[in-house]
Amino acid sequence: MTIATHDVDGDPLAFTHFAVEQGWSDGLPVIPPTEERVQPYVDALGIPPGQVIARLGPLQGDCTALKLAVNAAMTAAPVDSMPLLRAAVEAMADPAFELLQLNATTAPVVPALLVNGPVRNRLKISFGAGCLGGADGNGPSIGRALRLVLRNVAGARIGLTSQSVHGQPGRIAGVVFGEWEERSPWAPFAARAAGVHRDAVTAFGSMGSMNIIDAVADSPAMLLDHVGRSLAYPGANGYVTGLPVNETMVAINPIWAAMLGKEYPDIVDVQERIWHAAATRVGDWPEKYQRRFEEHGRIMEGGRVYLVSHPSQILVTVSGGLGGLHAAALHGIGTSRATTRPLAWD
Amino acid sequence: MSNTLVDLVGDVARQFSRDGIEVQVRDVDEAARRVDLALDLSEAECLDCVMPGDYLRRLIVVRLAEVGAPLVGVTLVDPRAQAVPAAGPEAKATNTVTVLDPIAAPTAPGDPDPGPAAGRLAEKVIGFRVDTLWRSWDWVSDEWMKLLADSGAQIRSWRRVQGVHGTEGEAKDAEYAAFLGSVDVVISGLGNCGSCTAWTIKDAMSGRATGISSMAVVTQQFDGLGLILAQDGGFPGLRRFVLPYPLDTLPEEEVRQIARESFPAMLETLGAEV
Repeated sequence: MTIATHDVDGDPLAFTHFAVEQGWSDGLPVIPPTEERVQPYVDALGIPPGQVIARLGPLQGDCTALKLAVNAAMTAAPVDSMPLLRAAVEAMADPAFELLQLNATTAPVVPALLVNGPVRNRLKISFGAGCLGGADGNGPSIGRALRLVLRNVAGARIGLTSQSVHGQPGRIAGVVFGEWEERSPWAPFAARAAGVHRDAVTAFGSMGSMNIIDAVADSPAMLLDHVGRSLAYPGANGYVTGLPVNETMVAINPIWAAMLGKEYPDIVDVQERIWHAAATRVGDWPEKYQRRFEEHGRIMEGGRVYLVSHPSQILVTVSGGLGGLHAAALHGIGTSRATTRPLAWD
Repeated sequence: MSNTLVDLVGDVARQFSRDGIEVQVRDVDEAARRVDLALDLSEAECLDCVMPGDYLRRLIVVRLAEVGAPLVGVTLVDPRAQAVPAAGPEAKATNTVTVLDPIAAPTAPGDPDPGPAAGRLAEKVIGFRVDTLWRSWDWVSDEWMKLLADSGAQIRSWRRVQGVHGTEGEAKDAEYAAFLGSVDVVISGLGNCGSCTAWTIKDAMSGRATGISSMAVVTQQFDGLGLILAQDGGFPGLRRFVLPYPLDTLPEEEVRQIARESFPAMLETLGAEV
């Protein structure tokens, strides 16, 4: 392997401190990435160690197979997760994802990964209860590996390249969750978004997770309207007036999904209903905001100002536990678009 | 050693020595184009406030390039990186292992040349790249446009909408390329947040790449980011003009006053004569 090396104290505590001082890590424990530990990660990709998977900004660093492997080894991500991590890097490097903007912004955004296909079970990536945080499994180690790639390869460093004012907890171990496809009345997200009908990962720039609870609605329409209204809070990124595009992801629990699917077998109708409700009346905004909305053509029929400009920008997935009652909203950042890539199993 | 190179390195080291931080010059090897530096933090009041060594090193590389000393390699010894705590009282002799470096290889230093100066402005076409985010940039641009027009320059402007992709995005980029082809000078702004600084620098670098006089305008808070992005984009010497921060929360007349007062300094950064 052609790569810089360092002779360090192999004690886990000493190495963890060393990694922090070097700027390699976030402060949580890390595993010393010795060649013996890293080699299986490289092998799992089945490509030469020096092969560039993508160039990542702002550093414009080359994410080679080897660099990806070193960072994955540091977080003890499963060796078998390497194809997933590779696909995630490729998805983030898609220009539509705007990784440079995500890594530089003042916002707290984190690339969340939505996983489809049998790989969810093989890698123990949760799609049920606690899938966005707290469930047992490998999501955190995989997510953290990606965070280290963004730190060490892309060069995203708080206060330097990243201007994130507050950050968010998801910036430590990432956000990695699956879709509960077997409980969804609709096609898997990756199939709907990108025509991928096998193992796939979707990268989505998430500002964080926001809970939506409902214990009153007695019809699918009423429930979707409630979800939509909840999304459209004034400080949501979609209301930055100059944005031509913005996406919001909604994770609907399987209990609600079953109910909704009976009346709305076509997911497009679900998106349309949520989108229509995710709006505010222009008169509820102060005059200065009203002028900005008018300048940017955001005021629609009936004086409605929609959170996002088209129903297709409401991204719906089915995830979460069987307790029902809650949806999770992940508001998007700026004009960044969700990007999906299939996993390469060679 | 070349006295000139030693002097330049010494000057830059002094520029980065402040608030109890001292950048010491240990060696300058002109033949090998290498400089060895070390940080002395013994007088620093707030260690947590000192920029990480690797980023400080990158900024020093950029600054050296800006002052005419593009170097192949700069090392910076950071005492914080040496201070690895012991594993605990039960720790035995050091168990040394060899680990692989997780950091991506640094990008090439890039072109330190700021590009052509604007020169005499009379009858030149000055292009303003404005945005959809910052009203303060509209006000600043408006003031500068009037003053430039008074100097005999012709003014054009083009508004960037961030994040337009696909066919529409390609059309927008073609539109911007045509805009660049129609002007002698481009002034791109405003870098006043993370993502908009990235777009501002990107559009300024596009101008620089075409060979016209090009300058990015950023606010103080985002100048460091602008510098890093310009370096990573291959143009560490890109002209950057810095406006005060915060700017967008100020009343319109105050912003316009800032624009008028900063006009001479802006011309100087642009290398312009009126």
